[in-house]
Amino acid sequence: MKLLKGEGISNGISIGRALLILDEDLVIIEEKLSKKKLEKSITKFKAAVREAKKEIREIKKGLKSKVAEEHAFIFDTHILLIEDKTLHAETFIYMKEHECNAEWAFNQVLIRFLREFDSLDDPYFMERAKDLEDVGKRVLRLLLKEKEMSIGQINEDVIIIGHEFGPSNITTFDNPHIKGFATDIGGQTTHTAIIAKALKLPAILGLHNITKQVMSGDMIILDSVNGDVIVNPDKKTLKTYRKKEITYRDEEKHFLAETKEPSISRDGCKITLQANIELPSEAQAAVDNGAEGIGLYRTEFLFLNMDPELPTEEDHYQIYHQIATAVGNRVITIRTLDLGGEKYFHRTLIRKKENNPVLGLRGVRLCLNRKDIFRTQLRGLLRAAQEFPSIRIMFPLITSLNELKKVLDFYNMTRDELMAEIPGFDAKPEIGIMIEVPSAAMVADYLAKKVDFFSIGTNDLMQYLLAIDRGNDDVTYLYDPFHPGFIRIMARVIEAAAEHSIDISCCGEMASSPLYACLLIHLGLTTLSMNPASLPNINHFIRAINFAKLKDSVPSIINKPNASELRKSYIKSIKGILSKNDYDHFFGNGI
Amino acid sequence: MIEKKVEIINQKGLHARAAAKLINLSHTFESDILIQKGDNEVNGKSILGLLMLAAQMGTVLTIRTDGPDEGHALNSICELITNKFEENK
Repeated sequence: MKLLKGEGISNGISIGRALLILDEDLVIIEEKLSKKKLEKSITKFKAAVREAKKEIREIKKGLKSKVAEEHAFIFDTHILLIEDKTLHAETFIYMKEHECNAEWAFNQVLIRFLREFDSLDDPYFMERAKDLEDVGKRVLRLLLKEKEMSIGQINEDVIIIGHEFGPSNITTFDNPHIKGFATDIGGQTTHTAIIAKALKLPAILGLHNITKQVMSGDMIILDSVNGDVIVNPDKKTLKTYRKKEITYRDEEKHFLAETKEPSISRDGCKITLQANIELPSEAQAAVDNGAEGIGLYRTEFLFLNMDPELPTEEDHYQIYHQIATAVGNRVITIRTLDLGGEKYFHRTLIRKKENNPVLGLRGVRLCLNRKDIFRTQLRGLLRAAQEFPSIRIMFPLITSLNELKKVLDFYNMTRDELMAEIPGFDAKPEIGIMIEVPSAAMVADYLAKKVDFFSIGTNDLMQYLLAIDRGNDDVTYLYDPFHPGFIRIMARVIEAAAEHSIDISCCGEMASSPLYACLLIHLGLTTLSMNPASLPNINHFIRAINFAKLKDSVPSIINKPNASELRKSYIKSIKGILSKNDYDHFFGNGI
Repeated sequence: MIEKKVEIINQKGLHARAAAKLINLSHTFESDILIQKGDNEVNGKSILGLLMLAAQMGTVLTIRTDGPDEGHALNSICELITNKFEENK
């Protein structure tokens, strides 16, 4: 039994067998084989080895003319590796012991050897793992050639283990047999985490080296409440977690039933809970989970799904129409295109590789640079808003008053165009901005005069304010909403909104954590928007808490220089207010 | 079975190219060949085994051969190692 610690995403407990995916194209699944089929699989393996050898010889031949003879010997080593008797013998032993297919056995043996190389203390010899991996993958590819295995075909309950998965990988995990996933790198605020939550897929990210510690077939418990991965648990632990899994699911069901009850705290604070969504299909789930509106619809996926095409005005109109219809009269905040940063890539829109994309041409910068695209989106949006007064428009990544003015001028011009074109057109949706860049937060009082609402994007605000890359797990330990710098800047923005009587909410993933939701409400926010799956949880939390009983007053929070002390006293104070059951549910045994 | 200790004296140690030479030589013999460094003993006909020994310059290896041509095998292998794997550098 082994315990690994990471960051838990989308609360829940999952239990299943590990499926290690080191290479997206190489999805290897165990198959139980009869004796006859076993022999056949061995024959196939031998043929694949012969074929691989032939391929390497070809490569070597092709190289000789170009590369000096000096380097061609590398391929001799590769051929020797492919022919290696130990490698073959171990594979056959594994196959016979487990009565399984050659690709599975070979992959397991390969990983075992790769790890042995990894544990050597000489860098030259450690590097030889790359040679072994290279030839191993060649054989595996040949073995899998006719099989076309993909993640969608997995038909046994598994927990997927990999180095890192991008948002587009995660969408392929939408298979009921995939019980969750765990990765070496990543964290709470990556888009991978956001999609995982949208799919209600328990995950633990940022485990550093889980791909080196787990083998396919190992029994795995994912406890995403505590961020724990338990590898090969003993019987007693497994039993405890099976029980926990059921309790957790029951509680979730209970909370879900409770979402019809308004989110009012014990001391009478009414908190408006809204949902962040990426896909139109999530709108219904949001309403089912008790969302009083859509606090953030990220329109990026509309673009990414069409890559390399761009959505037309009609595409925009149809999608917004569809979402607005799904959520009834509830407010829906549509954010204009915020492509850029991270791994989002659109072949037509983003052509240049930027050195620092998070600080590059993204958000409204990209829109002002490509006004044709901006105009198309705004026209579609305004036409939908003509029919649905519930639609609000939000601009991302505003950094200054001047920039905001440019955006608003262009918006007004587009609106005037429509007024001239369409008789009776008079849509005047509420206009708001994301507060996610520190400079915007510092001039929030100026910006407040120009817009109807603010929405604080805590993911990016934290990233820019504390200078921490959202996806780099070596620095995620610095992510701390109790950082006095963050608390002060939040207080400043909230004050500016109050002063000018404009609406303010938070649409960062922070709001889906009970502890941070509590902090945000305490600082004065009354509207929180989060992934739909977290809504029942946060609703229950709000209904369980009494904000008046929190020991730290707002001025004292703002003036606490030490983040970890504040966190400690905060948690202690919450512990004193919640029942033991609720406390255990929300904060687990860790935190 | 016979055995002999031999020190790796070439600068790069038992690296990939040297290991390949040793393997090619081992394969010409019928005898079983075992190579030991510390507690690790590997098959002298497996490149994986040889590389995983991570034998650097200065390492003393124990070579064991067992079979009809064990004497010839042992001498040839030790000679290859003491001749620095016939590398120029």
